[in-house]
Amino acid sequence: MIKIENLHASIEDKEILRGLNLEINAGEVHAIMGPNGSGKSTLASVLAGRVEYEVTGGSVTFDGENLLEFAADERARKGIFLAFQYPIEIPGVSTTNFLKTALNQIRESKGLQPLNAVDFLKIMKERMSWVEIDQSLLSRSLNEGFSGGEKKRNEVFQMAMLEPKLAILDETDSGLDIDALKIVANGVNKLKSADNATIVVTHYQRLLDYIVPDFVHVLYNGRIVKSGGKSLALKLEAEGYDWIKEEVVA
Amino acid sequence: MVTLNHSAEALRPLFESQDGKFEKIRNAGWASFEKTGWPTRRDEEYKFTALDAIFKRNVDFSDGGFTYSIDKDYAHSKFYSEDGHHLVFVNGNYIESWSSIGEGKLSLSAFDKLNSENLATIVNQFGDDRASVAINHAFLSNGISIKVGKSVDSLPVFIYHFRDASESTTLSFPYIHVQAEENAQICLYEKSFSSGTHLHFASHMTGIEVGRNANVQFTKIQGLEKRDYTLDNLFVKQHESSHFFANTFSLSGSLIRNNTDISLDGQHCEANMYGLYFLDGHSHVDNHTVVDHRFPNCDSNELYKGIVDEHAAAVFNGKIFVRQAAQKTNAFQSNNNVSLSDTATIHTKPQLEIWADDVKCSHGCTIGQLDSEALFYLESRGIKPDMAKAMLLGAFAQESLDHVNLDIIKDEVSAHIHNRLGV
Ligand SMILES: Nc1ncnc2c1ncn2[C@@H]1O[C@H](COP(=O)(O)OP(=O)(O)OP(=O)(O)O)[C@@H](O)[C@H]1O
Ligand SMILES: [Mg+2]
Repeated sequence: MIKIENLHASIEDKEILRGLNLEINAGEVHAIMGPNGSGKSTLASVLAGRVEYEVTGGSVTFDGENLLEFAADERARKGIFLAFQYPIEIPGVSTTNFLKTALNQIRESKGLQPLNAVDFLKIMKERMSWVEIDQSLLSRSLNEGFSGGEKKRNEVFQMAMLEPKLAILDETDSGLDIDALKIVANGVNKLKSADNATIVVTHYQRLLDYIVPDFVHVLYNGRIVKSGGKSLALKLEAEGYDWIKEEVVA
Repeated sequence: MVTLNHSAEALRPLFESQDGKFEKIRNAGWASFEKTGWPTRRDEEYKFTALDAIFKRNVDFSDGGFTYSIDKDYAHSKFYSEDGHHLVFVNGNYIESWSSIGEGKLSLSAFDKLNSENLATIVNQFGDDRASVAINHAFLSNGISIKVGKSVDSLPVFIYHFRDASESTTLSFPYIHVQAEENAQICLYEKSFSSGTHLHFASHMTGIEVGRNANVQFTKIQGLEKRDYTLDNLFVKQHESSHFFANTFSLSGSLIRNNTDISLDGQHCEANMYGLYFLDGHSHVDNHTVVDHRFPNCDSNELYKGIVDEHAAAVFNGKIFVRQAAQKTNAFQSNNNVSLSDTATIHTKPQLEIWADDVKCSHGCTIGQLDSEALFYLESRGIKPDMAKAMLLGAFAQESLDHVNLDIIKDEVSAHIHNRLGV
């Protein structure tokens, strides 16, 4: 589905990604772990098309196309979704309203008719129940005054509405209480199919008990330096990153 | 044909051809106007608003400057479909027979029907010797005095200004006086319409007295044609424990200068000023505001927002005076602008003068582009950049509508904004 080869990216002339390789097939869940500042969110932003990050080398192929050629909105319409680590607040724009616009623009690009209000509401009600998010939250200004956990839940709700091919969850578990973690993970699992894939960025193995990854990668210094199965996450939880750093230096 | 140059001269024949009505006020106004002439860029208050564009235009007053060809049906077709008092002005003159007065305790007196002493008392109560006031006095027309009684009259007042320049250059000098007595509550909505292809120049005077514990809301919708030039003065005097709201929406027009002056003349008053300008083409809108805190324990809030595109220009100058006696004042002011083009210009200046020591004042102004993070968020959900931009602008503008009481007005302005943005 997506193939990232030797990806280099910088921000403000500072190189953050330094030759990153990763391949993900449909139906897979990949977890990315790694120390603070190693470049996980940078990778997520670059894939989502944030222009502040400059790609200085390498390639990203998504469904056979050069992903880097497309603007952020085009990528989203092709099925890339980023659940932000720090979702921003947008006063005056309600989640409901903007999701309706987003969903209909995605449908339009696929040659589908826009959803009418009734059908939209029906889908919304269903997906709301998946992540147990309240209607009153969605008619308020986007994320404005939301608690940390509510913001994260809203990200997953949006993902459930837009049904992306490749979802990138950037520390969606941080800020969630234990119950919310299970609820959000259930939502993600509900969306899982043989046709889509998920990248889960996390610091904690706990989330991976609920969203079970096929692969676990360690991102360090702008590269994927180690890959393994679910057991790698357990080892990291127990031992931290020192042994990996030592391996890299060696 | 003459050009309207900077001195009062071009208007003299018109002034002298007036009938004998309101003679004293008109003569005094003319004498003052003759002395000052029109403001120029050298005048500190007009530094960024050049009236030159008006003065270079050819004007033709051979029809007397106030003729019109619109009729009553046309005027009525513009009425809001809302229960209320609908007052019609054409080229500055109140036309009673075209107006429609609703039920309730509202006492209306056309200036024609007032004796000269009462009229002088009203007119001398508001304003100062600035040119825009003087010229309004010099050409004082059939204005209206609205008295709102103690018993609450909840029906809104709609004031329609028709500016018809079908035949030749026309002028309007409307005068609206509102006296809200103790405990009175009233909302007024004012809207201007242009018709005809000639130039129109207007200088408005609105004087509002907000009685003890009274609550007045005054909303202006300025959506004029490119050949309309407007100076608009709104003077407000608030008595103890009164509330006042001004909403000013400037959506188009060639040149608009709004002077909004609020004087807090008693304790425990609350004054609110909200404004929105959304400009394109070569529109120029200037909001000069004054809040004068003269007594203790009063609050004032001021928020003006602007979206400025193409070659348009916006000017904001907000003065807050806190006199020595005005302890425990809370005064907030902000002016936020979004510039959509490199050729748009924005001048914004807060001006706080504080003589009291126990006060909370804050002011801030911003001139910026849209937040790139917010744009990215929307785009990352599949929304096209133009639409994302429009959504953010719509949200930015929407906030200025929050305080308007009447849905029909909110919806109208909101529709206008969304229409312009294409969302
Ligand atoms: N706008 C920016 N300007 C300068 N440096 C930046 C900018 N954004 C990110 N960086 C730097 O890039 C590096 C990688 O940041 P990134 O957010 O990708 O890390 P991360 O792996 O997601 O970390 P965390 O686990 O703390 O979320 C950091 O050193 C960060 O300071
Ligand atoms: Mg991060």
